[in-house]
Amino acid sequence: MSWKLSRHAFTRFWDVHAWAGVVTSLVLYVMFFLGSVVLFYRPLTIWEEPILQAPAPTGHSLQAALELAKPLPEEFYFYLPYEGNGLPKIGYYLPGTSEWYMWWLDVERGATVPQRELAAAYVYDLHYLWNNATGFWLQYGGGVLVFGFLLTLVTGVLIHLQNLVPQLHRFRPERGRRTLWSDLHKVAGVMGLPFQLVYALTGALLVLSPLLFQLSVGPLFKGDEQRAADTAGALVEDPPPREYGGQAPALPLDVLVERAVAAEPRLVVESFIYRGHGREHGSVDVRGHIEGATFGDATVTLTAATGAVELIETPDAERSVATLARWIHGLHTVHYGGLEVRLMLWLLAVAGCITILTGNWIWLERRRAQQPSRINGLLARLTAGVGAGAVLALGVLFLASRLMPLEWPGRLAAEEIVLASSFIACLVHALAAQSSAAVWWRLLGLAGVVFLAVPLAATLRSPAGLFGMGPRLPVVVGVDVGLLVASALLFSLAAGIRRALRGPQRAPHPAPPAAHPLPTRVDA
Amino acid sequence: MTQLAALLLVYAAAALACAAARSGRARLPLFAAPARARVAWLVSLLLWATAIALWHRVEPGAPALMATSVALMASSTWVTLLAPLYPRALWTSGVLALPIAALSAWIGAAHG
Repeated sequence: MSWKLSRHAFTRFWDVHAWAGVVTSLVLYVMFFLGSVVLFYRPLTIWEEPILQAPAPTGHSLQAALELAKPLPEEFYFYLPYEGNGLPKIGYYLPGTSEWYMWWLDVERGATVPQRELAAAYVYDLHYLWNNATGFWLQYGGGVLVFGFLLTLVTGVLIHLQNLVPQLHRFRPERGRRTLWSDLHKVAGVMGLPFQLVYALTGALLVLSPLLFQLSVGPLFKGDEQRAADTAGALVEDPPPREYGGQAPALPLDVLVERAVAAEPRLVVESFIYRGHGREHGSVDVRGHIEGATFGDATVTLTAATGAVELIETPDAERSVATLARWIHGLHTVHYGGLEVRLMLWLLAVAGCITILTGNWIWLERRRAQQPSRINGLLARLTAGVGAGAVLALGVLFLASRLMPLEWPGRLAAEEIVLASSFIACLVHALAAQSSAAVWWRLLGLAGVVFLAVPLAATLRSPAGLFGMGPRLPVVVGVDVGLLVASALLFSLAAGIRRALRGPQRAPHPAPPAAHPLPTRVDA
Repeated sequence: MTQLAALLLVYAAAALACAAARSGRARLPLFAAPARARVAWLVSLLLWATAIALWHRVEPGAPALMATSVALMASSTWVTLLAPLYPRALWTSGVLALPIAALSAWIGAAHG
């Protein structure tokens, strides 16, 4: 059996690969780049919030913490301290709005502290293009673009099928720019193909799941949204509103936890979701994990007023749709392996970013030898502005988060404004610049300076970091070290690009013929 | 420490496979003979299998295979990209990874 494609099929697949790639590239780059940062979401949240750096209070009942948050709405989330550090916290949508608010519950001082730091959360939300201002449409648009990315991956595999193995190790940096981009694109793309496929598939399903749920209610469940939600289980974050009956006080939370653990003794409790709080049929989901189980998320649902067990969902006792949800979520959010695997995944995510950017550069190099085009000039500038601008904007966000006082009420909005405005400024600079290559070294060099300053500025908010004067916490020091390594990498990249621009120009590879050129083996 | 040992083994496996690749740019002359190249590939596979077995002691079942596969993908990508630029550093670090992996595995086993 021959893997060689016909000339017609090769050209069509190549065109689809190039166009789908170039159309989706910039948004996908942002999603990939922020995804590489979100791999370290938990350490970042501890680094940015000193409350999470102190040991959790002991000897207090869970109900005592809940009492602090009164008056409680009908639906709210309650989270326990993570791994023995920090305070419990409560979160809910302000009634009648889509505004999500959280409070830390300081039982020892009998006070609540409003959430005051969201830098990591903004990065997390932007990874899948969620923002309060844009709502779901941008998130769903991102999901559709990920399907475009899947199309790029499939067509990329098809055009390389006959020589997939040589692409694994063919890297010739000594040749011209076009060969360099092409080899980089193929090594990073082919080596990381399983990673990119898994993340594209699971990411698209996670992002589009609310939309897919809504679409399935009519044809599959005859419009019965409640039955659909009961079937989908953990796949649905926000089940439809239901009637919870008359007033009835909930049992104390400590009693509910005892009942849940009695029903599922392996459950390690982490958080709770109350629905219909203070009502007769109101429920509480006691959520956590089963130690030792692969992607071992578990939920015990109880009637809050009586403590009766309504549903137990564990890896060995759940519907197949819950298993699917658990694996999709577990694979995408890396519920295995620990820090070492996250570092490896970070390397693969960076390789993914390289694959996306080099795809654009191959597109531009192929067309550079033909006639100059304003569209391609714009693409080169946008690639530089988005590519380097996303890195710089992230650094500026972290720096702003360390410089602004934690007690300042306006800091959450200010962080969001700083992130957006620094990214827009990078785009404007790139669009106005004469050379897109110069934009790269300028913005990356500046990002190196900003990342270098962040661990120093972090001493203003916490003594637990690398340069702090107090007792150091390994996770906080680790983030500071990571920022310094990022700074060194950015300086090296900026210096390398500047040197390459000033050094002797290598003769570029011969360009393809101007009129309707067929893709060459170098390109493909 | 056990996980670090497994990752170092995967790195050594990727470096060895890159050195023995039939038409690789950074092929080592040591593996020029086809028979030696085949032995190198076999050793590389054994190193990966050992890494899976090591990781299995920390995390059972599918996660062990997933973690070492992720490590293999990441190591192979960067070894392939860096080998033509810094060949000596790559091969030296690949060889050094083996005794450090053994030491890490021993410390991991001794301290749990």
